Amino acid sequence: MRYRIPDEMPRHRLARFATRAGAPYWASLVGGFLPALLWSATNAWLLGCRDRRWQTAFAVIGYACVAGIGAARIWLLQSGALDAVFGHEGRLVNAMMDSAYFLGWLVVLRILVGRQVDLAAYRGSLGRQLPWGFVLIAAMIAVDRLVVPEVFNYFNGIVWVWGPSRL
Amino acid sequence: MTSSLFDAALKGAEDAMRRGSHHTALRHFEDALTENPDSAEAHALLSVCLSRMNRRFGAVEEAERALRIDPELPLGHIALGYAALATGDVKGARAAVEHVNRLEPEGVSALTLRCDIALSTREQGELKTAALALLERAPEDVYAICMLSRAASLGGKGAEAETLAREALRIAPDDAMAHEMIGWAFFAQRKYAQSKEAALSALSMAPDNESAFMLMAASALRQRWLTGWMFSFALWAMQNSERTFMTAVIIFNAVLMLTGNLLWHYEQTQWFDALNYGSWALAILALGSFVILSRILQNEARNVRLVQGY
Repeated sequence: MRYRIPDEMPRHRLARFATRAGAPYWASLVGGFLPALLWSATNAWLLGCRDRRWQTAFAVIGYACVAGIGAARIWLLQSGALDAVFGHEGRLVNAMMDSAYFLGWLVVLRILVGRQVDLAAYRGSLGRQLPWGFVLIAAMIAVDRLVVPEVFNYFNGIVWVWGPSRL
Repeated sequence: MTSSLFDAALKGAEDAMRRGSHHTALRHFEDALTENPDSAEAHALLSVCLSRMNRRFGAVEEAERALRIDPELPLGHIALGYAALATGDVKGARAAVEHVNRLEPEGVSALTLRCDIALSTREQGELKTAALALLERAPEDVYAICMLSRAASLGGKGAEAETLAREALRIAPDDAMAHEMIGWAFFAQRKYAQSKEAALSALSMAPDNESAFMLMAASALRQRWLTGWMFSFALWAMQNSERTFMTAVIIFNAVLMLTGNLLWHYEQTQWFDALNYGSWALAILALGSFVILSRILQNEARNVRLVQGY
């Protein structure tokens, strides 16, 4: 029997649900940080990255740090501490903390994407398209625009829990 | 009889790999492994060939097969190193080099992999050191000469790179890598028409060669002195992967937000608006240049042909 060179196939069954590594990063701009982070951590497992456990731990720690900045900003703003300490410049400090919060979660996602991008790009080049990634982005936008504002009416803290979209 | 068929097929595969004809090499590997499926060496070489063709899952599988048959085969570890390098795992590839150096201190395969690692990380000094060591052990080795040439062109020494690449082409006129290297040497000397010709020659022999494709793209854009600069960002992002592009987006946002916050706070609303609209215009221009660049490259890739008279 003639020898057959192995086909280019990912090794486990759930691999077909993996998406492009950059999709959660770009989706976070329109759908919020928390779902994008969950998506990115799950993607590491679906792609079969060697360091998927490290990535999951990093996602948890990264979330705690960045959400901490958001929570601190909300607390400082609501307690009036910003104005008390910084006076008129309090508004600027608030804006800077908001920017640091936004950039912080982009950095967390960028680090996760950086560890998945080669494998995901290669998987993409094998020909199997992953259109369901767009469905996920649409769902994220719907939740971000329809559900989160409703929840926000009851809990002011939801902004830093979810991570608001910027577009 | 079986042994001679196996040897002939394996030699054919190695020759085809040296010429950069990887699809031809695959057929020879299939012949060789049909004759002798338990050859660890053939599995390992096939794995290296698959890595060069960017067939990563197959490369890992074949390297693991080779090491299951012979766990101490240096070539098996080298194959695993190449498979790691193909998935962007530079650390894993370096570990393979160290392991093979322990198994086979005088071998050349670890040096070859070392050159490839240095080439992928663009470490010019390391590339030169590894290529010189390789040339010492294997004089007249085309690959070593090509690597030395690439190290010279990375260091901006175009004339030296050209001399070395011409030497490689004298030894192996049909070697795709030698054509690519002379292309990089021309590029370093700003001879863009010739570097594009060389890239097209390399692509005619090895259509999957990504760095030859990048050389063609860079040369084609440098030839368009009036409009080429508009695609600098798109070309840079193309050469440096999505990872670098995302980092650039973060830095762009950080600068924009810092400036925007300051302008807004100190009520410079006109400048704030200029920054806002300017950044959107820049982003749209960058995205547009990606689309146009890919069209230009599609057109250029139609001209793939072999040119010998540089």
